[in-house]
Amino acid sequence: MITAELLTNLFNIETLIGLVVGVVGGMFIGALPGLGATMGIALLIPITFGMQPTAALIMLTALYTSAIYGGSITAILIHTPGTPASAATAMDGYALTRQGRGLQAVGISTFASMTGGTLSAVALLFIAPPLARISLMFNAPEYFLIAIFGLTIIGSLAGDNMLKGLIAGVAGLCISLIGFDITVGVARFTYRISELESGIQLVPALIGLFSLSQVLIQAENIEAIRRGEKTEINAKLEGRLLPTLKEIITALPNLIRSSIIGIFVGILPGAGGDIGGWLGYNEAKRWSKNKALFGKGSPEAIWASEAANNAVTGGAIIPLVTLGIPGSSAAAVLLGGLMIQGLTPGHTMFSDNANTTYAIILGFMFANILMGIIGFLIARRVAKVANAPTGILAPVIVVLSVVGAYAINLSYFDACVMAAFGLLGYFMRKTGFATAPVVLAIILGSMAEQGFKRAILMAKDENILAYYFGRPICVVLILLIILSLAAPLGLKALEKKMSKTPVAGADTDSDD
Amino acid sequence: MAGKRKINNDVYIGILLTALSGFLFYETSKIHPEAAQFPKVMIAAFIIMSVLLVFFGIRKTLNPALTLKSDTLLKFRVIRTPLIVFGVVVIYLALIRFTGFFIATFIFVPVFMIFYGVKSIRALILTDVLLNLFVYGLFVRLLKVMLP
Repeated sequence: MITAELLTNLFNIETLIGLVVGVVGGMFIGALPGLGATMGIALLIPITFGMQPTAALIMLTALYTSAIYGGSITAILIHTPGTPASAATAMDGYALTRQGRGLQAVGISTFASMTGGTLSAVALLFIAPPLARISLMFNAPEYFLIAIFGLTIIGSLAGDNMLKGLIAGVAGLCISLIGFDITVGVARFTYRISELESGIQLVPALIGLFSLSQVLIQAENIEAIRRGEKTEINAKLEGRLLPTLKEIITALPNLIRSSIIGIFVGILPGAGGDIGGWLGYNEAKRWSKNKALFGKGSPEAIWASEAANNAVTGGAIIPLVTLGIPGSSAAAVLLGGLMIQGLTPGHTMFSDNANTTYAIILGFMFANILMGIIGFLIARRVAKVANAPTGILAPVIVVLSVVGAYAINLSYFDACVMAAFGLLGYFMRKTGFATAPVVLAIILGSMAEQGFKRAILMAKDENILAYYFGRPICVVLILLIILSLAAPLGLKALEKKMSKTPVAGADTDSDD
Repeated sequence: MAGKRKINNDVYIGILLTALSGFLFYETSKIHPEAAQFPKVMIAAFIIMSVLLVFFGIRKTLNPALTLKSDTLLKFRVIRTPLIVFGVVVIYLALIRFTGFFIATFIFVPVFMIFYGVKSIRALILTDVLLNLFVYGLFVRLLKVMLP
């Protein structure tokens, strides 16, 4: 229900500035190869600390959807997807650019991204509230299993090595153990360092893992950077940017089908924008009368992959706000932003904090529409940021990472923690360990521990396993955990089958 | 005769993680038993997974066809420059401690840019000045953050 408080939350100067900053910032971050939504959200979180929850989360969710779109602009114009979610778009988008129809492809991408994202926001508005009611049935054992479920999901985003993803998750849980145990009141693993008594702070850890580690990854190519090697943007951007009404009507079934696919993929644990994009592309090809054109410059392909990859964003937020389970790496970092604002995922989001939550969802919807409008206005300029020299970007990211880590608690120690996690993140990525499970485990660690301890107390003299298996929701959650552990194998096979054509220059460094 | 077999990186990483998790498990014995309950379960899982990593690493060593792309990324030649970059970041952090944030940043930004091969004096000055102004405006003036 629309209340005066909801409208005040939504329509104030802070929220509107957050909306524009999220949309425009996301577009530019997404267009920069190597940087993506996850890193953008990580860098913005410290700024949100002093903001109202609605404005802060609208800015972060706007950045999330806009970065996915921004990645498509460079995918189309220079065959370099800014994020993996745009890999499917790159094939046909770049083919159109080579045919001198680059602007037409960008126009299709803009309209499709806007539609997919907006429809996913509508799904979020209607699916999330009933789903959140399920959390009312949860007690300590269920919360423990939810935390474990959350970890297995991110484990499934662990690249090509599932075991390493799970190790990263468990290592993150061990990091979350550092500090005071609140039930007994004793320090654990602090080694008399007073700053560690309050535990490892989430924001410095995630900035280090996602932002500083990215600077270190990019430093590997420093010789090429010093030589000033860069990809030239196709200077002759010709063609019509705005799709005609006839084109939109013709593409409508494709748009709706791909958006639904994207939303569904977003809700699914472990499947991100890349899989959404490929699935949308694949289905469009299956339904198309011009199958032969796919891969050679088919507008239908761009309508499909772009609607689907942006629809994934709203889909991924559904399990995030209802159950506290992020559907992607970017959503995992978003969960950190949510908790920093004092919002706990679950039914309270739609009861106690309903005005804030609905304002965020409506703001996310507006963000997608605004993304389309701004996209049509500045797409040509956004494409040029792909030429931004790393020599300028790197020190900017380092300085903002240091300030962001420091600003949360005005702690120099936190800035050092950020640097340490930057190095840890770099080595994790070089040895095949995903960094997202660590962040998620730090977030879910205390929930898992509290659930674990309280479940033992609740079981009393009963065997703890029998107690868990005697609770129907626990059985469902255990099955979901098993499914989540097995699903990556199927998803990888599916992705492999659909992405037979490699995309040159595809940005595989981004976590999105 | 077959060449010398290259041990998969996972073997070394697995041994390192097993040693680390073993040490952490030992450390739990020093904590109040109730507070050590959950850590013991988690660290035990950590030990089991680390041992599994060693096992799979040995399997990959014996059968290199099982090696994944992510097992081959860690080479000193590749990580040398990122380690130097990290060293510069550590020096920057130390400098903040002694000179304060803005002086340290004013020195760090051009040094870092020159290290990356930026030669344009205009770019060096503009980036340095604008970045410091941006941080001052946003964090100090707007968000009221007291920078060191």
